[in-house]
Amino acid sequence: MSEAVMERDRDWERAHPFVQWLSYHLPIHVPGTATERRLRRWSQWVDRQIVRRAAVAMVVLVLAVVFACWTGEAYFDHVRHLDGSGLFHRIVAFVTAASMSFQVGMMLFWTNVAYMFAGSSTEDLAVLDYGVSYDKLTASQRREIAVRHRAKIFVRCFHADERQSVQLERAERTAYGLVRRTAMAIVIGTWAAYLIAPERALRWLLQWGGLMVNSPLMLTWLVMVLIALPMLIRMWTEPDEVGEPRVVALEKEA
Amino acid sequence: MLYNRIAVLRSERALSRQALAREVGVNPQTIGFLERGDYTPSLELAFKISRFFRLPVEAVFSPDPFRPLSEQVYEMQKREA
Repeated sequence: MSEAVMERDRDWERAHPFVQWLSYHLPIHVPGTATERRLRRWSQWVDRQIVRRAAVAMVVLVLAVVFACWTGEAYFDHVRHLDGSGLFHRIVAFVTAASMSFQVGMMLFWTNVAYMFAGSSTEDLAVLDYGVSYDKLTASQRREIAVRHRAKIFVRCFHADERQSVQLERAERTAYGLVRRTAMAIVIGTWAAYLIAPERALRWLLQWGGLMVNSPLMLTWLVMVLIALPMLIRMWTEPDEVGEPRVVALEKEA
Repeated sequence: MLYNRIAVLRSERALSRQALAREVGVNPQTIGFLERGDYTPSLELAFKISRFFRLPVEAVFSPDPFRPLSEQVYEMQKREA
């Protein structure tokens, strides 16, 4: 690898030596020209606002379905006097919680990778470092670029730049405001129901609330919402990237 | 809101966002957001960008909208003549 190229690559410099070592020594599949183009198109597509918003909608849908099914099922058990603490019941709750956590976690992780890594590709690295397009590089140059690209994915996932950090902080503040307002509304609503509601309705409300709070599945659900909320807000509010001005794009092609 | 001339300076030098982003150590998208005025840079980033273009920071960033460069150059030429 060219020392000059490495010196110019700030992301590579920021990578921990262990990550650099790992990136060199782990087996790697170097993409051909067609695969590289496909990957680039995919990474551009996945970072569009409409795709991010669709991912947010799916996460919200998963959380809503789990909430609705579990509270409905718990209430049904209670009304029919079914065994809500039996082994089968516990296994179903565990599988639901694990499946929900995995789905939401993976969706958020991959969207975060796409977000952090947006705007740069192996093609860009080839043009920056060697002054030619990826398809004109030799096999060893392609491998070297692929190795660095892989290490940079890791670095960028854990080192957001200043704009990304600012955006995440803003999303966290918005999420906190949302949680605070929701919690206040729930407290006020519960007190209002406690003081005003007829006795039968109040008993129903307390039983239903008790069923929800006692469930580890609902606790997992709450934790997932708290963890995912800032990232969902960020994904929803991040605007689309504007393309390169025509003059620079033409110069780049030349 | 902080106005900037990054897009013009980049165009003049036929510099891609990726190249500038690498030099100043940010994500290429951040350069796009800066150019569009959707993000106000930190002092550190503003100085890094100005140093990269070898210009004083007030030539690249301003709290007031910039006058077109062509207009400024033409006025200077007129004054000199």
